[in-house]
Amino acid sequence: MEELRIGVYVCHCGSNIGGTVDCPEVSAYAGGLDNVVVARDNMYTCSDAGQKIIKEDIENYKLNRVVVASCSPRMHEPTFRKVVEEAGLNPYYMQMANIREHVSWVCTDIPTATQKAKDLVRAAVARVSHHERIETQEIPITKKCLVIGGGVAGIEAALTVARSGYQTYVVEKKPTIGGVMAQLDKTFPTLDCSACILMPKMVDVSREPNIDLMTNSEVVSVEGSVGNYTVTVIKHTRYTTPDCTGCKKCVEACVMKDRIPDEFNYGLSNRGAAYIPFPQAVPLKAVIDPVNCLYLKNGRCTQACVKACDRGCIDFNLKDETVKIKVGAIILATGFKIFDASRTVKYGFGIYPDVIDSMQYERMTNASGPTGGHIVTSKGEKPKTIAFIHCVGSRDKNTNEYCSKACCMYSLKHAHLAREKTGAEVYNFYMDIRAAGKGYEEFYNRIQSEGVHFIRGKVSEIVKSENDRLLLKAEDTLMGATVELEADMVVLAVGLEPSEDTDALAEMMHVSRTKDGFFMEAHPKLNPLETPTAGIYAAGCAQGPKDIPDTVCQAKGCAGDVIRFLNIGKVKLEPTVVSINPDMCKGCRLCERLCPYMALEFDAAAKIMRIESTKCRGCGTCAAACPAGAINQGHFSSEQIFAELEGLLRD
Amino acid sequence: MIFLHYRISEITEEQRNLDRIIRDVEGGEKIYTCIQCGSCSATCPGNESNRYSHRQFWRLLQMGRSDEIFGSENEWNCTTCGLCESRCPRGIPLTRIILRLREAYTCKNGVPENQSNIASAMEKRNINGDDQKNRSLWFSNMGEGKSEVEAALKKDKAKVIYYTGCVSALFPQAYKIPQSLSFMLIKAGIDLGFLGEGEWCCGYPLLGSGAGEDSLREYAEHTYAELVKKGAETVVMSCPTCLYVFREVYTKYVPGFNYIEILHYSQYLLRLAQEGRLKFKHGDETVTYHDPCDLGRKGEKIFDEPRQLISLTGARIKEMRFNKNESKCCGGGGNIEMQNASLAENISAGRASEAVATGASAIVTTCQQCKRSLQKGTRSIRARIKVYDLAEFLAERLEG
Repeated sequence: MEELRIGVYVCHCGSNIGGTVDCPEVSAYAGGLDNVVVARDNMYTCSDAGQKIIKEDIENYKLNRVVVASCSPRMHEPTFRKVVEEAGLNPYYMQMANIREHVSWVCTDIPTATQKAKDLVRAAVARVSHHERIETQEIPITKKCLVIGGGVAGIEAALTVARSGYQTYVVEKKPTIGGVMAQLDKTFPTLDCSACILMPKMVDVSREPNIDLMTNSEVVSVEGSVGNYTVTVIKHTRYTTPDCTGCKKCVEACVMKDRIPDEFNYGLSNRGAAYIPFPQAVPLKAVIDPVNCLYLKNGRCTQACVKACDRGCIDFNLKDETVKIKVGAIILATGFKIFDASRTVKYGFGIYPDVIDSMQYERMTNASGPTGGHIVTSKGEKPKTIAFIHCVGSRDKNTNEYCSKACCMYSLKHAHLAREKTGAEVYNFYMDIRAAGKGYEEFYNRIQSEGVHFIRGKVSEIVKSENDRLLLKAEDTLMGATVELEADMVVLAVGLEPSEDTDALAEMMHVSRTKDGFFMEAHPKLNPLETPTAGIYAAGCAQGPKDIPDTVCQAKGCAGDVIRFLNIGKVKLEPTVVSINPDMCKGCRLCERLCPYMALEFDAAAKIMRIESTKCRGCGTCAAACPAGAINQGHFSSEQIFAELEGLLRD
Repeated sequence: MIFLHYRISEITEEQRNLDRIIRDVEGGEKIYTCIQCGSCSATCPGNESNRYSHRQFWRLLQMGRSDEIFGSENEWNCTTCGLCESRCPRGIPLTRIILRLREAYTCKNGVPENQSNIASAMEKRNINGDDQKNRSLWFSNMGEGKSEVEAALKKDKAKVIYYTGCVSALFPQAYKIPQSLSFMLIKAGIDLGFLGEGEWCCGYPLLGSGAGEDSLREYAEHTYAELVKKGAETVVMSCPTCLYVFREVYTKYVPGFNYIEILHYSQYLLRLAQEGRLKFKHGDETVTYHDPCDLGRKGEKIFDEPRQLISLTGARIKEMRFNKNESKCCGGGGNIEMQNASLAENISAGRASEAVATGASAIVTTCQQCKRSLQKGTRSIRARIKVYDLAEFLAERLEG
């Protein structure tokens, strides 16, 4: 075995470490450890100058191992691996000791902190002595992309990737793409028509040759890892053949017509079991809702739809289809669901029909909506007074603590539309108006000057007044007086929550989520597009509440990163994948059940386990569990871990 | 508007003191996260009788304005019903802060005049300042079950102790509650006992009058010793406030309270009914149920048990607009009657009106203080609606 020659570099990280740890002392101590040839302390080891010193030392002192005592390896392990590699060493001959997050940021007493830093350096030196050369494998990737969700985020992401020449699958759970944006009337702050700007994009998706659009479909499993995912999709049948032209004859004929609450209009109107979600749906094809169709439910129906269809498109024998697709990267664009306002009992949503939520109001103001764009009360009258309550379900420890970001602006838009369409007196109850964005503050200014009344106070409750109107109670906090308002209609500005499928998808793809339930980003500042799971991205409200401009930005950003990745065309396998010693494996199959990635397979002929390296993510669960010690994890061998422990425990 | 002008120069000792007082309360530092939304002010039925709105009061607290805080009577004009707290978007423990401020006020200015008779009454260990012997008079005009109760009162040992609470034991108009409950427990064949003269007030009136939690230590220790002497395995309560004090305060001073089963009678009776030991006659009536704050939102969220028991009699429940966690105050908490009797009556009348609006023939509740207050409320609005404690309601409908 070659002689060990170790270099140790203790980083001050400015005052981040240097303020709490006596770095020169740690460096001097490290210099006295076995096999350490050179030890230095450095103001910023990650700087150009700091990197240069390591490289020069490797050459001058013939170093063959390096220890960097600095920050968490999360950010700079790749940096220092590259440094040693550029100096001609195998990159895995480097080990980091985290004396920032684990020492200086959590200790206040200098002598104690310095002692702990020495302990960690000693452990790292002991460990690095056992490091082995690792040649990372590179494998080709599937140059295709999957976008889950067909709202504006999914549409923008898919169009961008597809137009760069990569085949893109779009899987949408509903029978049409378009998402929430297709339900909106106007968009803030420009007040341009939401449908007018979105519909052309929806049509583009259906016409783009590189896009394979699967509506009424669900992702049910995802296997593999970055660059090579195998995704199983169930394409639920529409019970109509591709010949359907969307003529609506079946829709008109359906015996259940106008008897099922229409989800597109948030229950403000009804549809039939055979329906087309909305006139501009893409694809424009009828769908039969199996939950409510009498024939599909209990086999008893006159099948009026079948008789009505000239082209014979309706076929109740059609079955769901399962397809497997292979992709290199996945973009999660699963959007959001609105906060269920009936959870805030004090506002009487679900008790008083004229207390509605913002999406119902949005449908009501929409010319193609259930009231033809007229804002009317449950009695069909034009309201004289309308109140908008901001922050319903948001910024509240009882429900969601976070700010839903879009509600202030959409409520301003709603107030404007209320004034414009009804001439009613409009009162917006708010806690703070959050109008950060291009043209947003100006929009707020405009709405204020249009005569909308703003009352700074959170509405405490809504009851029926003696005049059979709605009575709101709040404190006008700017006046210091309690205020009661009689209104004909109350609109609750409900917040945004992770969509229903977030749980299932997160589990299926091993994607972490933040405290609020939305998909987590790999780094909140420097990598806000990718999730902590490589090759899986989150765009739009799937990652957190946001408005349309931010959603489109993020979608295009994700698409750009996916294109970069697909362009490279290959991916390095994790160095931490496991290997199985066939002579030691007893074939007990314990590891098989523990592996979260299904990377281990039992070889029935040889009666031992085999590992599929491309599936292994290097989590180490199997290696820790193997009773025979037959599984070795790269860069985390038992020898290395015990050496590190022994180093730590020695004084 | 509170001030026209004020200047901030240096933080005063007074401000620091106030800050320490707030931080004494578990979660008290959250007062600095108050976003001044005014939800508390608009929720509180007593807001308009205060010099400052609640929101303004919290603002004064945030800025350490000690003189204004203790010069107002805000902290005393509170029934401690906790609805403001449950609606607070920042989750600030407003009720506990109020009680802590009462304590601080008392340290600074002495006990306010209209609370002063509490301390002297409590020297006798009950809320009335009565002789403790009078605690056992309640069964004297009892019909069926009188002799069994008399025997139970004399028992040295009993597995189940019914802790009656001051109002039930000492207010003749409330006697029917302990009578009804004891009657049912005896009918169910429970090994029932009482603490008799050894039963002290739970101490909540002291807490409400600003004496501070530590003043309850001797109450906790005494009651625990009495329970142990009797060999109690289960304590049944008819007063949700006593239950709240046992759980929230006594357990801090005497960990032994964690090892005795402490139940509200609605929990216990439901268990007995489910075991088939109690059966009720079926009637056809519609009632409404009032959730006491100490049993519901402030306490252990006991919402379902009383409703299930009512349903066992075949009665339909017509809910008030505000129920369960959102239940409105009866007007009887926080020693408010001593502080501001007309406010207490207004609050009671408001809740009574809400009950009347349901069209129900009776209000059922599970707290003798709520019952008293709601009765006053129904009288003041001249409503023809009966007010029951659940124990009375059930005992009237007991089968066999």
